[in-house]
Amino acid sequence: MEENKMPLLSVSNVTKIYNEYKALDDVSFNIGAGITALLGNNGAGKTTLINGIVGLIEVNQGTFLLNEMDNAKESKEFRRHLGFLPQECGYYDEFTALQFLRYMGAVKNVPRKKCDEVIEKYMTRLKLWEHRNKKISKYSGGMKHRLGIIQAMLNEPMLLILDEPTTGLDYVERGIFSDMMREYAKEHIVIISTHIFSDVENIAENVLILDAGKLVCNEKFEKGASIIEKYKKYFEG
Amino acid sequence: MGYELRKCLCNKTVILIILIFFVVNGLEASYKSLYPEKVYDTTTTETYKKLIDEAFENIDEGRDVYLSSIFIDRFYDRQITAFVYDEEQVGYETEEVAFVNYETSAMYGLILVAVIVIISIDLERKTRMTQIISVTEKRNGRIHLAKQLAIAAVVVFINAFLFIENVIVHKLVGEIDYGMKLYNIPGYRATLFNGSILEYKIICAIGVCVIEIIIANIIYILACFLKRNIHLIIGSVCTYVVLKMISDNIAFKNYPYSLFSFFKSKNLVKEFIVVRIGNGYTYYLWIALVFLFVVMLITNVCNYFMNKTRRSI
Repeated sequence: MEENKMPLLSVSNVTKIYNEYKALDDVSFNIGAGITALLGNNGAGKTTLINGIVGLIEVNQGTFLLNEMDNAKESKEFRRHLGFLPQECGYYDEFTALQFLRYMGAVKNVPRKKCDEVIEKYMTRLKLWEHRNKKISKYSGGMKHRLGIIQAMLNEPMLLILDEPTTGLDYVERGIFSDMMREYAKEHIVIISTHIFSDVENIAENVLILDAGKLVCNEKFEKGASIIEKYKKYFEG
Repeated sequence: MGYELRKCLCNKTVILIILIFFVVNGLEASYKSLYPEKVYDTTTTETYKKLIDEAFENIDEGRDVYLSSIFIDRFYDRQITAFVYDEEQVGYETEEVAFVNYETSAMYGLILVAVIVIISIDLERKTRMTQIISVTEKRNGRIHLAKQLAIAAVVVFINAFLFIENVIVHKLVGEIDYGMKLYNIPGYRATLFNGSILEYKIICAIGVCVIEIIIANIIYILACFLKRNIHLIIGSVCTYVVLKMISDNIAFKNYPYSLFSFFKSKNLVKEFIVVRIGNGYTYYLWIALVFLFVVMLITNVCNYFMNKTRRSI
């Protein structure tokens, strides 16, 4: 696995316990720039790990370091370099897409001019630019999802975490999304958590597999290989 | 802040409530004369006292009450006298405070803002925006600041609108001469203020606006701590009632619409009936708020015990 590229996310000895149940059990890994697929069955601990990295939950033990910034001690600094798309992203339906993204840009402290440039770049890329003045309530599920991806990328974060980003996207949109992520991951860390393996098979450079809270696989992935063939044993149970 | 304003105001419920408030405010302004001088021309304070006493007597004896609603409203708005029923005391309200009293008696703006605060916080929760916002650099800090500024802007906007509506209606219906000096009004002869009625009214409105901004923001801060909508509503209503009572009772010792005086009164039922006959819309709002609070409280307590029972089963 490539670890020598900057930036670097270091996860060390992370344990999270919910009512005596270990959702994460001593998880450690380092990942650099590139796309990392976070895989695992339901209840394996993927969402808990993501929530721990982004700071939505506190872990019982362990650290998350992004270029040596600790998300517990330097959380503000850590979050400045973070982009996150949750599985169910929220939107203000009464806003137009452009208003919503500008609003998110303001919340993320992105200067207006830069924000507008980024919005135009990614909206054009994800074929939403012509719908920018349409109210979000009029958007389809797929369009909303693309909007969610853009809001996560507004601050061009060093660490981009996407939870089920391709849900609701059609074949063409998935292709566009993959190309965009491939390009973005050249200089940034991208973690994609998904159940749709085919979406990451062609773009993932690293694979992390969680099983019952334990990290059972952390290795470089050969693009184009079949995840289900290669890691079948982890998904059978 | 602009986005927060849009979130607050681009909501059908809020627009509907704003419209209702403007209509109620206009109606109330249209039947209330703002200044006592018109009344003094034709009726003495003793006459008012007599009329009020008659009203109480009629109520006691179960007869119909023919007292003009305008008289009672003026009486209870303390524009006419500082009448205290129990002590049979009659006197003129000669201080400027009576004027402010009138302004604050219609704090519709604040009720409206409390509703907007509830809807706005509820919106954040419904849309699940809290999750993506809490992973941004400043978490909710920026939003809270923007929201509080937006609330202040909404208060100013609503007050300005209600103020203008009031001024126009009083001008048209009450034929008030706003250019007249304040000391020309019999009740304000002792005033040191050298400006016109309109200037004084503007100063009062600004003062009321500042008080409302403070109260509205306190409601918002408290509301942020409440997780469930039911608590949010109860908390907001409760905060509004308590803060309004405190502000009224600090500023106006004999404020007739304050709950404090209301509950203190030995003639609780009688006063309620008189005010009800008097079409005191402000008082209706008070009663509606208290009623809402009681209903919410009962529902909440019932839910709590029902949940407890279910858990124990």
